[in-house]
Amino acid sequence: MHEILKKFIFEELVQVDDVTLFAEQDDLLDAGLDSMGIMRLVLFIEEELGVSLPDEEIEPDNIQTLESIVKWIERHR
Amino acid sequence: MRTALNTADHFTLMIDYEIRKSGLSGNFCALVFELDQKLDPESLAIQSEGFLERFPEANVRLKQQGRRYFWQPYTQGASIFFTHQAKHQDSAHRIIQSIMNTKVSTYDAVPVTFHLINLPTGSFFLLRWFHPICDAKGAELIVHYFLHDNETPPKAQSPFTQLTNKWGFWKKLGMMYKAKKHIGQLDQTSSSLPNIQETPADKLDYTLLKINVETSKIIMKHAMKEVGMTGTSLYFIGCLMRALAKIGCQENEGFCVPYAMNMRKRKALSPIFGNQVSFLFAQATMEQVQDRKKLFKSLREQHKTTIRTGLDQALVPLMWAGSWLPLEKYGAIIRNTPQGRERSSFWFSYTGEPDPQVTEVANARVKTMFQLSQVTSPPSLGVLVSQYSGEITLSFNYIASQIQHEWLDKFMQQLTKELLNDSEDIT
Repeated sequence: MHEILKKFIFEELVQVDDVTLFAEQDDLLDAGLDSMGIMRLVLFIEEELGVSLPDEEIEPDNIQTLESIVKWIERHR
Repeated sequence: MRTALNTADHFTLMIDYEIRKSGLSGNFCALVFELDQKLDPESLAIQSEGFLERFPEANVRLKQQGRRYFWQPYTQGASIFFTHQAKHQDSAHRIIQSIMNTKVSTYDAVPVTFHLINLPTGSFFLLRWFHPICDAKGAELIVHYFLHDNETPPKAQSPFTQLTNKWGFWKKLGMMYKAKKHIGQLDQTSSSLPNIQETPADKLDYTLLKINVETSKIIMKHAMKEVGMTGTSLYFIGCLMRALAKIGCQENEGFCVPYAMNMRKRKALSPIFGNQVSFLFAQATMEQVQDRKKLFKSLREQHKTTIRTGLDQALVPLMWAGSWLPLEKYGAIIRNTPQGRERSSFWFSYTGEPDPQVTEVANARVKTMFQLSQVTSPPSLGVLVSQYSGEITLSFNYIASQIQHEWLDKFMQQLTKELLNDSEDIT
């Protein structure tokens, strides 16, 4: 799941110099994940992983890092 | 070598045609930095020459061949840097206004010009661009590379072209149908517009609403509460709709507001030239506008549905089809409903903080930043929201003869209340 998410985020949403250096705990919001990107990511998770994430839980704690996104998904699986 | 305009560039060229048809100078925009000291123009003039050498894409003029348009390299020497002297803030404002209102034909328009407006203590550094050459993000990148002549942009294919190239003919046709249907649905609700005086359009003027850091933080907290992390633009759009309705602009069934969607990846330092945007609409009925909670819920749902159903990208093939029409016909389709009414209640843009950040220009500290854009008549009003070091600035761009100061003041006061969720309306 990490790899699928990482691939989508860095191919479609956020530009970083070297994806391999981007760690699970690095800040995606600082890296440039913006409002439109978050919306796309949530819909991608819904369509590709079949996990529906409630709107009201779209908040920094759940979106900040790859690690937190994965935990958020796990809670709703 | 000449360069063809992409579909989004062509869209902005159509808007240029429509703005000129309204009697204004054309589709010119500006990014303005207020600096804490006056500057020596000499070094900036040298930097601008260097910029043209590094980026010959900016040294072009528009050419038409049949129904297609191209950028043709400009071989005659021309300066792109201008110095102006202002005695006080008011005269600086008038100079900025005149930079935006200078009339020159579409084919003679210089795509990128830099302006230094020196005051006795302080200055403004202004980048004016002709919209078909780049979008607002491209303009931020132009400023970045102008100020950092040791940096070279990374090579990148245009995300806009990349996206459109991957669709086959039938896919484009299907998406176009979807977009057309979507616009047809929007047109079932007639749009209310600002109160406009029935006088010919003469020139663009602007007024700024600057909000300090503390108040900006409060506004962003409200935005977070109402529309979450996914829709800061929607918060401003919703508040603008409510403020308009409360000061009496509710002669029709609702509001419809176009806004741009950038297709670059965030933090991407290229491409600089070429528009990389599609557009979306936010719409609400007057009934939804009356109820703050209902309004933001509806705008959020609409936004989500737009992305879920791929409508954000579906408008691109529609723009592509439009680019084969004469500008006049294309403009009429984009602006008007089948009943001949203006579809857009006002124009809107939210760009957030400049990225990369611009902290100084030639060693002068940047105090504030704002944006400007010409608009068509009607709706005669565009609201451009940006942030600099946490401070929100709302730039109200309007047609001077058609929108009265008293009306605008009232609108800004009501808007401030809406942004702060202050339930007491102005009287």
